[in-house]
Amino acid sequence: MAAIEAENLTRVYRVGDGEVRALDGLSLSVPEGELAAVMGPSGSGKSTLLALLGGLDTATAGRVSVHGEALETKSADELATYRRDSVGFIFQDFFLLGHLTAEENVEVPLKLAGMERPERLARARELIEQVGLGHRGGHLPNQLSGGERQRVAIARALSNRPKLVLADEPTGNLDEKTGHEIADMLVQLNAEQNIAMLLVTHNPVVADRAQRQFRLGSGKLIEETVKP
Amino acid sequence: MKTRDLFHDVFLNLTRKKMRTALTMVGVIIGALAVVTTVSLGHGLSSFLDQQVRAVTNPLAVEAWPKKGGRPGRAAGSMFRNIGKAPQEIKKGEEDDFFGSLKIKTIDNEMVERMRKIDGVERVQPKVFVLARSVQLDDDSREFDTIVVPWIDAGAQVLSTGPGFSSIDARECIISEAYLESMGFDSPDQLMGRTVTIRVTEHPMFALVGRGGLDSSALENFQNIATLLKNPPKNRVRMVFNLFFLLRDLANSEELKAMAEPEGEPVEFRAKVVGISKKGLLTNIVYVPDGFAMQMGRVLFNNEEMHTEKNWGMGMVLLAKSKADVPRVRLAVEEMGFRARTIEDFIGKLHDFFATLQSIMVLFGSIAFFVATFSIVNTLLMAVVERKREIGVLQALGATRGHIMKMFACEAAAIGLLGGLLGGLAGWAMAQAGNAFSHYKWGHIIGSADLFVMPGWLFPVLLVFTTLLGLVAGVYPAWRASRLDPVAALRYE
Repeated sequence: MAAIEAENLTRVYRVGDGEVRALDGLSLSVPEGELAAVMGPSGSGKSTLLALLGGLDTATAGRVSVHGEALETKSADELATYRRDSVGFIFQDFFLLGHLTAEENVEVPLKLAGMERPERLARARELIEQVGLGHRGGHLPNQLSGGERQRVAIARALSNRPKLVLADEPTGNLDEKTGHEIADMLVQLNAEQNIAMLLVTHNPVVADRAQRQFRLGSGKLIEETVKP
Repeated sequence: MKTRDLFHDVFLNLTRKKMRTALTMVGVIIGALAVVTTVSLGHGLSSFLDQQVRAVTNPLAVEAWPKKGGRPGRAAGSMFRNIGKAPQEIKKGEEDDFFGSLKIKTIDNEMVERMRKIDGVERVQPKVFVLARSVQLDDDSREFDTIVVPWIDAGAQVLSTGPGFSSIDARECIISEAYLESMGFDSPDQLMGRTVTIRVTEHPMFALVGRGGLDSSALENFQNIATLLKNPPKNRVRMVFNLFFLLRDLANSEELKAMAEPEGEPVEFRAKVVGISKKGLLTNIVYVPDGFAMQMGRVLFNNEEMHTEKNWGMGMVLLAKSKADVPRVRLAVEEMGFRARTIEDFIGKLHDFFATLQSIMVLFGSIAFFVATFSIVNTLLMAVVERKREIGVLQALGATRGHIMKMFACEAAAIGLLGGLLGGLAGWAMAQAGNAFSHYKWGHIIGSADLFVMPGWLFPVLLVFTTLLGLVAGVYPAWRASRLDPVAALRYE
């Protein structure tokens, strides 16, 4: 079963009297446990694709399924449950909650899932250790560097043991060295935990780490490259 | 999400902007403070006056007042209500509401005999009013103000010192403990056995009633003047003349003449002090035996036949044998066609009055609550905008619309709850301060009684109310937050 199956995916936004076709009949497939990269110029539909795959948005037309689970028929609450249990998000701007410590940020998805405190605390500490921030777990986001924040975001994305991680420009706000460290970490996690990952990136070096690359243009799939 | 975790998050969110949360609470705090203070004052005053009235009123007394034809206020009102209208049909049961029925009814011997025969009645006597001008101790040039009360209206519970009256007609009195201080005594023994002079006066209006001279001509003249003013003749000169003659007639009516007459010279009654009564809210009371009181009452009406078989007066007092007999006596009095009044009726009216007063005060307090509601709505709407991206992140992490809604609604409810708690405590503190002040300022009158008494139900009801108020205020902002589009929320800068 493919981790991601998108078929003829279309997303049209109404802007004033006109409309913008962010995705225009896009079809792609990512096999189980694979790391894939999505590239393309601004406005090519990368983020829209991520939002549709993550259940944050719904397609105007077409079908999308993640691990065999069709998303287009789900209600708003079902999509929320899907995001909570099956998807991990990593954002370019980290999107950590500023009033919570690193550990508490990692706890949020577990809290939403109704996990008891001792259990989720243990899980959060384990993940913080795993991303190399064992000594910084009690720090607030504004006391952490960009790279550290992104590590916390990665730990948070992994907290609910998702089947799919969607990362939107995860190295976009980091310097080159830190960006490479984060990319290494994602590659390593993908290899160790066999989690399917879809990275949206402008960075060809980061994209090159993926087994599969999709190039989008004007909401369409222009090119798909698979490493031998 | 576990409820405990939800409450923890709500607490964290509220403490993030402490000043804003505190300012939002101010309205709720003021409302709660106003409600607690006013309700405590109303409740305390009501309880205090209840105690005071019970302390000086005879619980065994049932007053009987004529019912039919004895409502001059309503009858007179009907006259002015109908000016300029077509004559009204007098419907059955409403006869007493019309002017023609106005008459002062007195009680005849047959009625008194029937009252005496009521089961459970020990004694029946007329309701006596005494208009006392002063009380003066022998060998003392000073006169003190006083209210003379017949003993039947008080009861044995008011007696603090002394044997009490030797007979119903004895020329004796029981004097309030408060006079000791005024007269310069240290102990009740110094006053016991001394003789006082009570000066009682006639009142012209009462005297007119007592002599049966009330002829309603004043009311008729008022009606004529009102009709003339309502339908003035075209000829202004004639109108002025008519008005002049009507005013002359009005001035010549017995009632107005009586009103204009000066009070007569006071009549002096000497009485031996045979007891000291407990100090209450009214400090200037002198109790006298009922027979002695009737003698004084005759002065008020300037009628020697008053309170005798020839003229019982306008009301009677029936003394029940025991408290258990009071309801039965009361019922029998009503069945005879009288209005019955007991201490419980009076106290009931007192409580009703304070309940109404409290409602009005609470209504004013509610204005603060009303404003507070908008303040909570405004704060939360601002919070929704400010935390838009955070809401988007929570949605991305799996928060449902219900969860987002619950979170904001709980924040609003918590503002209400905390505001109610702080306002309630502030109100309680204010009530304590009020009690301390009232003891300092009016301790000589109220003793150790508290004027502010917080009823047990008030605090829990207040907290439930303010929490619900917050919850209601939070519904719209919470709904707005829950309907945010996650993609747009995440993009929000």
